[in-house]
Amino acid sequence: MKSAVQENVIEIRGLRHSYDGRIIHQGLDLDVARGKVVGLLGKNGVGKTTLINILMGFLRPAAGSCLVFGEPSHNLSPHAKSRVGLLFEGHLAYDFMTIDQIERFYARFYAGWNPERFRDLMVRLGLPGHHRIRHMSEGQRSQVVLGLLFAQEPDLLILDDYAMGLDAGYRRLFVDYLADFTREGRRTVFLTSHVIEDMERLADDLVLLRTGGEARRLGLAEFRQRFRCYSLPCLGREAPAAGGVIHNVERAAGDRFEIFSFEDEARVAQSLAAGGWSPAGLCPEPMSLEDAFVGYTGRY
Amino acid sequence: MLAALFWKEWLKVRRVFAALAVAHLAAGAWAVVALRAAFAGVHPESVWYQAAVLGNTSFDVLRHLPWAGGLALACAQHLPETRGNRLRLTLHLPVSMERALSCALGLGLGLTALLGLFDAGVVFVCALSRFPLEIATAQLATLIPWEAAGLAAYLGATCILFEPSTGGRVHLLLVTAMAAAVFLVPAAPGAWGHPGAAALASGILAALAVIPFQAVSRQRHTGKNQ
Repeated sequence: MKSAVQENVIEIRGLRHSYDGRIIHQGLDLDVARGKVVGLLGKNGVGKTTLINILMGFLRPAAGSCLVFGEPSHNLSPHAKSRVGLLFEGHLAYDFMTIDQIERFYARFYAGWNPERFRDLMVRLGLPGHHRIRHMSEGQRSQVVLGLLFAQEPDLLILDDYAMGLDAGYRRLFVDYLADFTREGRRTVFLTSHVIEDMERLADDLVLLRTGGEARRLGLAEFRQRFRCYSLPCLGREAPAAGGVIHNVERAAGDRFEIFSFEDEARVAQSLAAGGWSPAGLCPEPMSLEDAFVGYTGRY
Repeated sequence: MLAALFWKEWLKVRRVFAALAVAHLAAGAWAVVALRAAFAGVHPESVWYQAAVLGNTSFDVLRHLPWAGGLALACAQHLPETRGNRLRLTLHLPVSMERALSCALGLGLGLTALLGLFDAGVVFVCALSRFPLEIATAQLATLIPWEAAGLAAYLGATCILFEPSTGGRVHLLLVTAMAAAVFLVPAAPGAWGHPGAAALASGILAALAVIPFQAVSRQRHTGKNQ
Protein backbone atom coordinates (compact mmCIF):
# COMPACT_ATOMS: atom_id res chain seq x y z
CA MET A 1 0.00 0.00 0.00
CA LYS A 2 2.95 2.32 -0.27
CA SER A 3 2.55 5.31 -2.49
CA ALA A 4 5.17 6.12 -5.08
CA VAL A 5 5.03 9.83 -4.18
CA GLN A 6 7.88 10.71 -1.88
CA GLU A 7 6.61 13.46 0.38
CA ASN A 8 4.32 11.69 2.81
CA VAL A 9 2.21 13.63 5.26
CA ILE A 10 1.07 10.44 6.98
CA GLU A 11 3.24 7.35 7.35
CA ILE A 12 1.93 4.29 9.10
CA ARG A 13 4.18 1.27 9.52
CA GLY A 14 3.30 -2.09 11.05
CA LEU A 15 0.44 -0.62 13.03
CA ARG A 16 -1.15 -3.07 15.42
CA HIS A 17 -4.00 -2.48 17.81
CA SER A 18 -6.49 -4.70 19.59
CA TYR A 19 -9.22 -4.42 22.19
CA ASP A 20 -9.65 -7.24 24.70
CA GLY A 21 -7.83 -9.68 22.44
CA ARG A 22 -9.85 -8.72 19.32
CA ILE A 23 -7.43 -7.61 16.64
CA ILE A 24 -8.47 -4.37 15.02
CA HIS A 25 -5.34 -3.62 13.03
CA GLN A 26 -2.56 -6.06 12.33
CA GLY A 27 0.56 -4.80 10.59
CA LEU A 28 -1.15 -1.94 8.78
CA ASP A 29 1.10 0.05 6.43
CA LEU A 30 -0.24 3.21 4.85
CA ASP A 31 1.23 6.33 3.31
CA VAL A 32 -0.68 9.45 2.44
CA ALA A 33 1.24 11.75 0.14
CA ARG A 34 0.95 15.53 0.21
CA GLY A 35 -2.02 16.73 -1.81
CA LYS A 36 -3.92 13.47 -1.71
CA VAL A 37 -7.49 13.09 -0.54
CA VAL A 38 -7.88 9.64 0.96
CA GLY A 39 -11.19 8.17 2.06
CA LEU A 40 -11.23 5.51 4.75
CA LEU A 41 -14.12 3.11 4.25
CA GLY A 42 -15.30 0.08 6.13
CA LYS A 43 -18.26 -1.31 7.96
CA ASN A 44 -18.93 -0.44 11.57
CA GLY A 45 -16.48 -2.14 13.91
CA VAL A 46 -13.62 -2.71 11.49
CA GLY A 47 -11.40 -0.08 13.06
CA LYS A 48 -12.06 3.19 11.26
CA THR A 49 -12.52 5.12 14.48
CA THR A 50 -9.51 3.39 16.03
CA LEU A 51 -7.32 4.40 13.10
CA ILE A 52 -8.68 7.95 13.13
CA ASN A 53 -8.11 8.17 16.90
CA ILE A 54 -4.53 6.99 16.45
CA LEU A 55 -3.98 9.49 13.64
CA MET A 56 -5.49 12.28 15.68
CA GLY A 57 -3.19 11.39 18.54
CA PHE A 58 -5.85 10.35 21.02
CA LEU A 59 -4.86 6.70 21.12
CA ARG A 60 -1.43 5.18 21.22
CA PRO A 61 -1.05 2.10 18.99
CA ALA A 62 -0.10 -1.16 20.68
CA ALA A 63 2.75 -1.58 18.19
CA GLY A 64 4.10 -0.01 15.04
CA SER A 65 4.38 3.66 14.23
CA CYS A 66 2.04 6.35 13.02
CA LEU A 67 3.80 9.51 11.88
CA VAL A 68 2.15 12.78 10.94
CA PHE A 69 4.55 15.30 9.41
CA GLY A 70 7.31 12.96 10.56
CA GLU A 71 6.29 13.09 14.24
CA PRO A 72 4.54 10.38 16.27
CA SER A 73 0.84 11.18 16.07
CA HIS A 74 0.32 10.73 19.83
CA ASN A 75 3.04 13.24 20.62
CA LEU A 76 2.82 15.99 18.02
CA SER A 77 4.68 19.21 18.65
CA PRO A 78 2.60 22.41 18.82
CA HIS A 79 3.97 23.37 15.40
CA ALA A 80 2.85 20.09 13.82
CA LYS A 81 -0.56 20.42 15.51
CA SER A 82 -0.95 23.88 14.02
CA ARG A 83 -0.69 22.30 10.55
CA VAL A 84 -3.42 19.73 11.22
CA GLY A 85 -7.12 20.51 11.19
CA LEU A 86 -9.26 17.94 12.98
CA LEU A 87 -12.97 17.53 12.58
CA PHE A 88 -14.37 15.36 15.31
CA GLU A 89 -17.38 13.11 15.01
CA GLY A 90 -20.45 15.10 16.00
CA HIS A 91 -18.82 18.41 14.95
CA LEU A 92 -17.43 19.05 18.39
CA ALA A 93 -16.89 22.68 19.31
CA TYR A 94 -16.60 24.76 22.47
CA ASP A 95 -20.35 25.10 22.76
CA PHE A 96 -20.15 27.55 25.67
CA MET A 97 -18.73 30.14 23.27
CA THR A 98 -20.52 32.40 20.83
CA ILE A 99 -19.62 32.66 17.14
CA ASP A 100 -17.53 35.78 17.76
CA GLN A 101 -15.85 34.34 20.82
CA ILE A 102 -14.83 31.09 19.15
CA GLU A 103 -13.28 32.92 16.22
CA ARG A 104 -11.44 35.28 18.55
CA PHE A 105 -10.18 32.31 20.55
CA TYR A 106 -8.90 30.18 17.66
CA ALA A 107 -7.39 33.12 15.77
CA ARG A 108 -4.80 33.50 18.56
CA PHE A 109 -3.35 30.05 17.91
CA TYR A 110 -2.81 30.06 14.15
CA ALA A 111 -0.29 32.35 12.53
CA GLY A 112 -1.94 32.04 9.12
CA TRP A 113 -5.49 32.56 10.39
CA ASN A 114 -7.72 33.58 7.50
CA PRO A 115 -10.77 35.42 8.89
CA GLU A 116 -12.38 35.72 5.46
CA ARG A 117 -12.90 31.99 5.24
CA PHE A 118 -14.68 31.95 8.59
CA ARG A 119 -16.78 35.01 7.86
CA ASP A 120 -17.81 33.69 4.47
CA LEU A 121 -19.44 30.67 6.07
CA MET A 122 -20.87 32.71 8.93
CA VAL A 123 -22.55 35.10 6.50
CA ARG A 124 -24.18 32.09 4.89
CA LEU A 125 -25.19 30.87 8.33
CA GLY A 126 -27.06 34.11 8.92
CA LEU A 127 -26.77 34.07 12.71
CA PRO A 128 -25.57 37.01 14.80
CA GLY A 129 -22.07 36.87 16.23
CA HIS A 130 -23.40 36.67 19.77
CA HIS A 131 -25.30 33.46 19.01
CA ARG A 132 -24.09 30.73 21.34
CA ILE A 133 -22.94 27.49 19.73
CA ARG A 134 -24.82 25.30 22.19
CA HIS A 135 -28.05 26.77 20.87
CA MET A 136 -27.32 25.76 17.27
CA SER A 137 -28.55 22.76 15.32
CA GLU A 138 -26.02 20.13 14.30
CA GLY A 139 -25.98 21.52 10.76
CA GLN A 140 -25.37 25.08 11.93
CA ARG A 141 -22.61 23.89 14.24
CA SER A 142 -21.01 21.96 11.37
CA GLN A 143 -20.80 25.22 9.45
CA VAL A 144 -19.04 26.96 12.34
CA VAL A 145 -16.61 24.06 12.71
CA LEU A 146 -15.92 24.02 8.97
CA GLY A 147 -15.27 27.77 9.05
CA LEU A 148 -12.82 27.35 11.91
CA LEU A 149 -11.04 24.50 10.14
CA PHE A 150 -10.70 26.41 6.88
CA ALA A 151 -9.57 29.61 8.58
CA GLN A 152 -6.70 27.69 10.15
CA GLU A 153 -5.40 27.02 6.61
CA PRO A 154 -4.21 23.57 7.61
CA ASP A 155 -1.90 21.46 5.48
CA LEU A 156 -3.63 18.28 6.63
CA LEU A 157 -7.31 17.80 7.37
CA ILE A 158 -8.53 14.72 9.22
CA LEU A 159 -12.30 14.48 9.13
CA ASP A 160 -14.09 11.88 11.20
CA ASP A 161 -17.54 11.14 9.80
CA TYR A 162 -18.35 14.73 8.86
CA ALA A 163 -21.77 13.71 7.51
CA MET A 164 -23.10 12.39 10.81
CA GLY A 165 -26.16 14.33 11.90
CA LEU A 166 -26.30 16.52 8.81
CA ASP A 167 -29.36 16.75 6.59
CA ALA A 168 -28.91 16.60 2.82
CA GLY A 169 -28.62 20.38 2.43
CA TYR A 170 -25.97 20.90 5.09
CA ARG A 171 -24.09 17.83 3.90
CA ARG A 172 -24.04 19.16 0.35
CA LEU A 173 -22.86 22.56 1.55
CA PHE A 174 -20.15 20.90 3.60
CA VAL A 175 -18.95 18.75 0.70
CA ASP A 176 -19.05 21.66 -1.77
CA TYR A 177 -16.88 23.82 0.44
CA LEU A 178 -14.59 20.95 1.25
CA ALA A 179 -14.17 20.04 -2.42
CA ASP A 180 -13.23 23.64 -3.28
CA PHE A 181 -10.92 23.90 -0.30
CA THR A 182 -9.02 20.71 -1.12
CA ARG A 183 -8.53 21.83 -4.73
CA GLU A 184 -6.70 24.95 -3.54
CA GLY A 185 -3.02 24.37 -2.95
CA ARG A 186 -1.70 20.97 -2.03
CA ARG A 187 -3.84 20.13 0.90
CA THR A 188 -3.96 16.62 2.21
CA VAL A 189 -7.21 15.18 3.50
CA PHE A 190 -7.90 11.94 5.33
CA LEU A 191 -11.59 11.37 5.89
CA THR A 192 -14.24 8.86 6.84
CA SER A 193 -17.91 9.04 6.05
CA HIS A 194 -20.90 6.77 5.98
CA VAL A 195 -22.10 8.59 2.87
CA ILE A 196 -20.18 6.70 0.23
CA GLU A 197 -21.33 8.81 -2.71
CA ASP A 198 -19.48 11.85 -1.28
CA MET A 199 -16.23 10.00 -1.81
CA GLU A 200 -16.73 10.25 -5.56
CA ARG A 201 -16.57 14.03 -5.29
CA LEU A 202 -13.78 14.20 -2.76
CA ALA A 203 -11.41 11.24 -2.70
CA ASP A 204 -8.46 10.39 -4.91
CA ASP A 205 -7.79 7.11 -3.14
CA LEU A 206 -9.74 4.75 -0.94
CA VAL A 207 -8.53 2.67 1.96
CA LEU A 208 -10.94 -0.22 2.38
CA LEU A 209 -10.92 -1.87 5.78
CA ARG A 210 -12.36 -5.29 6.48
CA THR A 211 -12.88 -7.22 9.69
CA GLY A 212 -9.68 -8.65 11.10
CA GLY A 213 -7.50 -5.75 10.14
CA GLU A 214 -7.27 -6.35 6.39
CA ALA A 215 -6.75 -3.07 4.55
CA ARG A 216 -6.53 -2.39 0.83
CA ARG A 217 -5.51 0.88 -0.78
CA LEU A 218 -6.88 1.68 -4.22
CA GLY A 219 -7.31 4.69 -6.42
CA LEU A 220 -10.98 5.64 -6.59
CA ALA A 221 -10.98 5.42 -10.39
CA GLU A 222 -9.18 2.09 -10.29
CA PHE A 223 -11.71 0.71 -7.80
CA ARG A 224 -14.65 1.89 -9.91
CA GLN A 225 -13.07 0.47 -13.04
CA ARG A 226 -11.79 -2.84 -11.76
CA PHE A 227 -14.25 -3.94 -9.10
CA ARG A 228 -17.24 -5.54 -10.74
CA CYS A 229 -20.53 -7.17 -9.93
CA TYR A 230 -21.98 -10.15 -11.76
CA SER A 231 -25.44 -11.57 -11.39
CA LEU A 232 -25.93 -15.35 -11.32
CA PRO A 233 -29.35 -17.08 -11.06
CA CYS A 234 -29.71 -19.06 -7.81
CA LEU A 235 -31.75 -21.95 -9.27
CA GLY A 236 -31.94 -23.48 -5.80
CA ARG A 237 -28.18 -23.86 -5.56
CA GLU A 238 -25.87 -23.12 -2.68
CA ALA A 239 -23.99 -19.84 -2.98
CA PRO A 240 -20.53 -20.10 -4.61
CA ALA A 241 -17.75 -19.79 -2.11
CA ALA A 242 -15.70 -16.58 -2.04
CA GLY A 243 -11.97 -16.88 -2.53
CA GLY A 244 -9.42 -16.54 -5.25
CA VAL A 245 -10.93 -14.70 -8.20
CA ILE A 246 -14.26 -14.28 -6.40
CA HIS A 247 -13.99 -11.56 -3.77
CA ASN A 248 -17.46 -11.83 -2.27
CA VAL A 249 -20.84 -13.41 -2.94
CA GLU A 250 -24.16 -12.07 -1.69
CA ARG A 251 -27.67 -13.43 -2.09
CA ALA A 252 -29.69 -10.67 -3.75
CA ALA A 253 -33.35 -9.92 -4.39
CA GLY A 254 -34.79 -11.65 -7.48
CA ASP A 255 -33.52 -15.15 -6.63
CA ARG A 256 -29.97 -14.48 -7.74
CA PHE A 257 -26.46 -14.22 -6.42
CA GLU A 258 -24.33 -11.13 -6.75
CA ILE A 259 -20.72 -12.09 -7.35
CA PHE A 260 -18.09 -9.42 -6.75
CA SER A 261 -14.66 -9.65 -8.28
CA PHE A 262 -11.73 -7.62 -9.54
CA GLU A 263 -11.59 -9.89 -12.59
CA ASP A 264 -13.43 -9.86 -15.91
CA GLU A 265 -16.46 -11.99 -16.72
CA ALA A 266 -14.49 -14.76 -18.43
CA ARG A 267 -12.19 -15.24 -15.41
CA VAL A 268 -15.14 -15.30 -13.03
CA ALA A 269 -17.00 -17.83 -15.21
CA GLN A 270 -13.87 -19.94 -15.32
CA SER A 271 -13.52 -19.80 -11.56
CA LEU A 272 -17.17 -20.75 -11.02
CA ALA A 273 -16.86 -23.69 -13.37
CA ALA A 274 -13.70 -24.84 -11.64
CA GLY A 275 -15.60 -24.82 -8.36
CA GLY A 276 -18.47 -26.87 -9.76
CA TRP A 277 -20.96 -24.06 -10.36
CA SER A 278 -22.42 -23.58 -13.78
CA PRO A 279 -21.76 -20.03 -14.95
CA ALA A 280 -24.88 -20.10 -17.14
CA GLY A 281 -26.76 -16.80 -16.81
CA LEU A 282 -23.73 -14.94 -15.42
CA CYS A 283 -23.96 -11.32 -16.49
CA PRO A 284 -22.37 -8.03 -15.39
CA GLU A 285 -24.43 -5.61 -13.30
CA PRO A 286 -23.97 -1.84 -13.10
CA MET A 287 -22.88 -0.57 -9.69
CA SER A 288 -22.83 2.70 -7.82
CA LEU A 289 -19.85 3.35 -5.56
CA GLU A 290 -22.03 2.43 -2.59
CA ASP A 291 -22.94 -0.89 -4.27
CA ALA A 292 -19.25 -1.52 -4.86
CA PHE A 293 -18.40 -0.66 -1.25
CA VAL A 294 -21.06 -3.01 0.11
CA GLY A 295 -19.97 -5.67 -2.35
CA TYR A 296 -16.37 -5.28 -1.24
CA THR A 297 -16.95 -5.21 2.50
CA GLY A 298 -19.97 -7.55 2.52
CA ARG A 299 -23.43 -7.06 3.98
CA TYR A 300 -24.10 -7.72 7.63
CA MET B 1 -1.86 32.02 23.38
CA LEU B 2 -1.72 31.97 27.18
CA ALA B 3 -4.12 34.87 27.34
CA ALA B 4 -6.51 33.02 25.03
CA LEU B 5 -6.32 29.89 27.17
CA PHE B 6 -7.05 31.86 30.35
CA TRP B 7 -9.89 33.66 28.57
CA LYS B 8 -11.47 30.35 27.53
CA GLU B 9 -11.35 29.15 31.13
CA TRP B 10 -12.80 32.42 32.34
CA LEU B 11 -15.72 32.19 29.90
CA LYS B 12 -16.70 28.89 31.46
CA VAL B 13 -16.50 29.90 35.10
CA ARG B 14 -17.45 33.56 35.15
CA ARG B 15 -21.11 33.02 36.06
CA VAL B 16 -20.36 30.49 38.77
CA PHE B 17 -17.56 32.70 40.05
CA ALA B 18 -19.92 35.68 40.20
CA ALA B 19 -22.43 33.58 42.16
CA LEU B 20 -19.69 32.39 44.52
CA ALA B 21 -18.44 35.94 44.99
CA VAL B 22 -21.95 37.00 46.03
CA ALA B 23 -22.16 33.99 48.39
CA HIS B 24 -18.80 34.86 49.98
CA LEU B 25 -19.83 38.50 50.26
CA ALA B 26 -23.02 37.42 52.03
CA ALA B 27 -21.12 35.03 54.28
CA GLY B 28 -18.60 37.77 55.13
CA ALA B 29 -21.42 40.14 56.01
CA TRP B 30 -23.00 37.41 58.12
CA ALA B 31 -19.71 36.93 59.99
CA VAL B 32 -19.43 40.66 60.71
CA VAL B 33 -23.01 40.84 61.94
CA ALA B 34 -22.58 37.67 64.02
CA LEU B 35 -19.50 39.10 65.76
CA ARG B 36 -21.27 42.38 66.50
CA ALA B 37 -24.26 40.42 67.80
CA ALA B 38 -21.98 38.35 70.04
CA PHE B 39 -20.53 41.46 71.63
CA ALA B 40 -23.98 43.00 71.94
CA GLY B 41 -25.49 39.88 73.48
CA VAL B 42 -23.00 38.91 76.18
CA HIS B 43 -20.27 40.55 78.18
CA PRO B 44 -17.13 41.23 76.00
CA GLU B 45 -14.97 39.24 78.42
CA SER B 46 -17.07 36.18 77.68
CA VAL B 47 -16.62 36.67 73.92
CA TRP B 48 -12.88 37.12 74.40
CA TYR B 49 -12.73 33.97 76.50
CA GLN B 50 -14.60 31.95 73.86
CA ALA B 51 -12.38 33.30 71.11
CA ALA B 52 -9.01 33.11 72.88
CA VAL B 53 -9.38 29.95 74.98
CA LEU B 54 -12.09 27.88 73.32
CA GLY B 55 -11.22 28.94 69.77
CA ASN B 56 -14.85 29.79 68.90
CA THR B 57 -15.45 32.02 65.91
CA SER B 58 -18.29 34.08 64.52
CA PHE B 59 -17.65 32.88 60.99
CA ASP B 60 -18.58 29.21 61.14
CA VAL B 61 -20.67 29.91 58.03
CA LEU B 62 -17.34 29.96 56.14
CA ARG B 63 -16.45 26.39 57.08
CA HIS B 64 -18.39 24.76 54.24
CA LEU B 65 -18.55 27.51 51.66
CA PRO B 66 -14.97 27.12 50.29
CA TRP B 67 -15.12 23.39 49.57
CA ALA B 68 -18.61 23.65 48.10
CA GLY B 69 -17.37 26.53 45.95
CA GLY B 70 -14.32 24.56 44.87
CA LEU B 71 -16.54 21.72 43.70
CA ALA B 72 -18.87 24.10 41.86
CA LEU B 73 -15.99 25.90 40.18
CA ALA B 74 -14.33 22.65 39.05
CA CYS B 75 -17.58 21.34 37.61
CA ALA B 76 -18.34 24.60 35.81
CA GLN B 77 -14.83 24.72 34.39
CA HIS B 78 -14.15 21.14 33.41
CA LEU B 79 -17.51 19.53 32.65
CA PRO B 80 -17.94 21.50 29.39
CA GLU B 81 -14.71 19.92 28.16
CA THR B 82 -14.78 16.45 29.68
CA ARG B 83 -18.29 15.56 28.47
CA GLY B 84 -18.78 14.40 24.91
CA ASN B 85 -15.04 14.05 24.14
CA ARG B 86 -14.60 17.84 24.01
CA LEU B 87 -11.26 17.63 25.77
CA ARG B 88 -9.92 16.66 22.35
CA LEU B 89 -10.46 20.21 21.21
CA THR B 90 -8.09 21.52 23.84
CA LEU B 91 -5.59 18.69 23.40
CA HIS B 92 -5.31 19.51 19.71
CA LEU B 93 -4.65 23.21 20.21
CA PRO B 94 -1.10 24.05 19.11
CA VAL B 95 0.17 24.22 22.67
CA SER B 96 1.48 21.45 24.90
CA MET B 97 -0.98 19.56 27.05
CA GLU B 98 0.96 20.66 30.13
CA ARG B 99 0.57 24.31 29.25
CA ALA B 100 -3.14 24.03 28.47
CA LEU B 101 -3.83 22.15 31.70
CA SER B 102 -1.65 24.48 33.75
CA CYS B 103 -3.68 27.44 32.53
CA ALA B 104 -6.92 25.67 33.42
CA LEU B 105 -5.73 24.70 36.90
CA GLY B 106 -4.05 28.07 37.39
CA LEU B 107 -7.24 29.97 36.75
CA GLY B 108 -9.36 27.68 38.90
CA LEU B 109 -6.91 27.71 41.79
CA GLY B 110 -6.41 31.44 41.39
CA LEU B 111 -10.13 32.18 41.63
CA THR B 112 -10.57 29.80 44.57
CA ALA B 113 -7.64 31.47 46.31
CA LEU B 114 -9.08 34.91 45.52
CA LEU B 115 -12.30 34.02 47.30
CA GLY B 116 -10.23 32.65 50.17
CA LEU B 117 -8.26 35.88 50.39
CA PHE B 118 -11.49 37.84 50.48
CA ASP B 119 -12.75 35.66 53.36
CA ALA B 120 -9.43 36.03 55.16
CA GLY B 121 -9.51 39.80 54.72
CA VAL B 122 -13.04 40.08 56.08
CA VAL B 123 -12.30 37.81 59.04
CA PHE B 124 -9.01 39.49 59.91
CA VAL B 125 -10.27 43.06 59.63
CA CYS B 126 -13.46 42.19 61.49
CA ALA B 127 -11.54 40.39 64.23
CA LEU B 128 -8.99 43.20 64.56
CA SER B 129 -11.81 45.66 65.19
CA ARG B 130 -12.77 43.74 68.33
CA PHE B 131 -9.77 41.64 69.39
CA PRO B 132 -6.05 42.15 69.82
CA LEU B 133 -3.71 41.06 67.03
CA GLU B 134 -2.96 37.68 68.64
CA ILE B 135 -6.60 36.62 68.71
CA ALA B 136 -7.26 38.05 65.24
CA THR B 137 -4.30 36.02 63.94
CA ALA B 138 -5.58 32.90 65.68
CA GLN B 139 -8.99 33.42 64.07
CA LEU B 140 -7.28 33.70 60.70
CA ALA B 141 -5.41 30.47 61.42
CA THR B 142 -8.77 28.77 61.99
CA LEU B 143 -10.02 29.97 58.63
CA ILE B 144 -6.99 28.97 56.53
CA PRO B 145 -7.53 25.15 56.65
CA TRP B 146 -11.14 25.68 55.57
CA GLU B 147 -9.92 27.67 52.60
CA ALA B 148 -7.37 24.92 51.92
CA ALA B 149 -10.32 22.50 51.85
CA GLY B 150 -11.67 24.66 49.01
CA LEU B 151 -8.45 24.21 47.05
CA ALA B 152 -8.47 20.47 47.81
CA ALA B 153 -12.10 20.15 46.69
CA TYR B 154 -11.34 22.05 43.49
CA LEU B 155 -8.30 19.92 42.70
CA GLY B 156 -10.01 16.67 43.73
CA ALA B 157 -13.06 17.36 41.55
CA THR B 158 -10.70 18.23 38.69
CA CYS B 159 -8.89 14.90 39.14
CA ILE B 160 -12.20 13.02 39.11
CA LEU B 161 -13.42 14.78 35.98
CA PHE B 162 -10.21 14.11 34.05
CA GLU B 163 -9.81 10.51 35.24
CA PRO B 164 -10.55 8.11 32.34
CA SER B 165 -11.66 5.02 34.31
CA THR B 166 -14.72 4.56 36.50
CA GLY B 167 -12.73 2.71 39.14
CA GLY B 168 -10.19 5.51 39.20
CA ARG B 169 -12.94 8.06 39.68
CA VAL B 170 -14.29 6.17 42.70
CA HIS B 171 -10.81 6.05 44.22
CA LEU B 172 -10.27 9.73 43.58
CA LEU B 173 -13.65 10.56 45.09
CA LEU B 174 -12.56 8.86 48.30
CA VAL B 175 -9.16 10.56 48.19
CA THR B 176 -10.80 13.94 47.65
CA ALA B 177 -13.26 13.39 50.49
CA MET B 178 -10.44 12.41 52.83
CA ALA B 179 -8.26 15.31 51.74
CA ALA B 180 -11.07 17.80 52.35
CA ALA B 181 -11.87 16.13 55.68
CA VAL B 182 -8.27 16.57 56.84
CA PHE B 183 -8.73 20.32 56.53
CA LEU B 184 -12.26 20.43 57.93
CA VAL B 185 -12.03 18.31 61.07
CA PRO B 186 -11.88 20.51 64.19
CA ALA B 187 -8.28 21.10 65.22
CA ALA B 188 -6.81 22.57 68.36
CA PRO B 189 -6.18 26.33 68.07
CA GLY B 190 -2.83 26.85 66.37
CA ALA B 191 -2.51 23.22 65.28
CA TRP B 192 -2.16 24.17 61.62
CA GLY B 193 0.66 26.54 62.47
CA HIS B 194 2.95 23.58 63.17
CA PRO B 195 5.52 23.08 60.34
CA GLY B 196 4.54 19.42 60.02
CA ALA B 197 0.89 20.31 59.52
CA ALA B 198 1.79 22.94 56.95
CA ALA B 199 3.95 20.39 55.12
CA LEU B 200 1.08 17.88 55.19
CA ALA B 201 -1.28 20.47 53.73
CA SER B 202 1.18 21.41 51.02
CA GLY B 203 1.81 17.75 50.22
CA ILE B 204 -1.90 16.97 49.87
CA LEU B 205 -2.51 19.92 47.58
CA ALA B 206 0.61 19.27 45.49
CA ALA B 207 -0.32 15.60 45.02
CA LEU B 208 -3.84 16.53 43.94
CA ALA B 209 -2.43 19.10 41.51
CA VAL B 210 -0.27 16.49 39.76
CA ILE B 211 -3.00 13.88 39.24
CA PRO B 212 -4.93 15.69 36.44
CA PHE B 213 -1.79 15.80 34.29
CA GLN B 214 -1.30 12.06 34.74
CA ALA B 215 -4.98 11.38 34.09
CA VAL B 216 -4.94 13.25 30.78
CA SER B 217 -1.71 11.51 29.76
CA ARG B 218 -3.33 8.15 30.42
CA GLN B 219 -6.32 9.18 28.33
CA ARG B 220 -4.00 9.55 25.35
CA HIS B 221 -2.94 5.93 25.78
CA THR B 222 -6.42 4.53 26.17
CA GLY B 223 -8.52 6.88 24.06
CA LYS B 224 -11.08 7.07 26.86
CA ASN B 225 -12.96 10.08 28.18
CA GLN B 226 -11.64 12.60 25.66
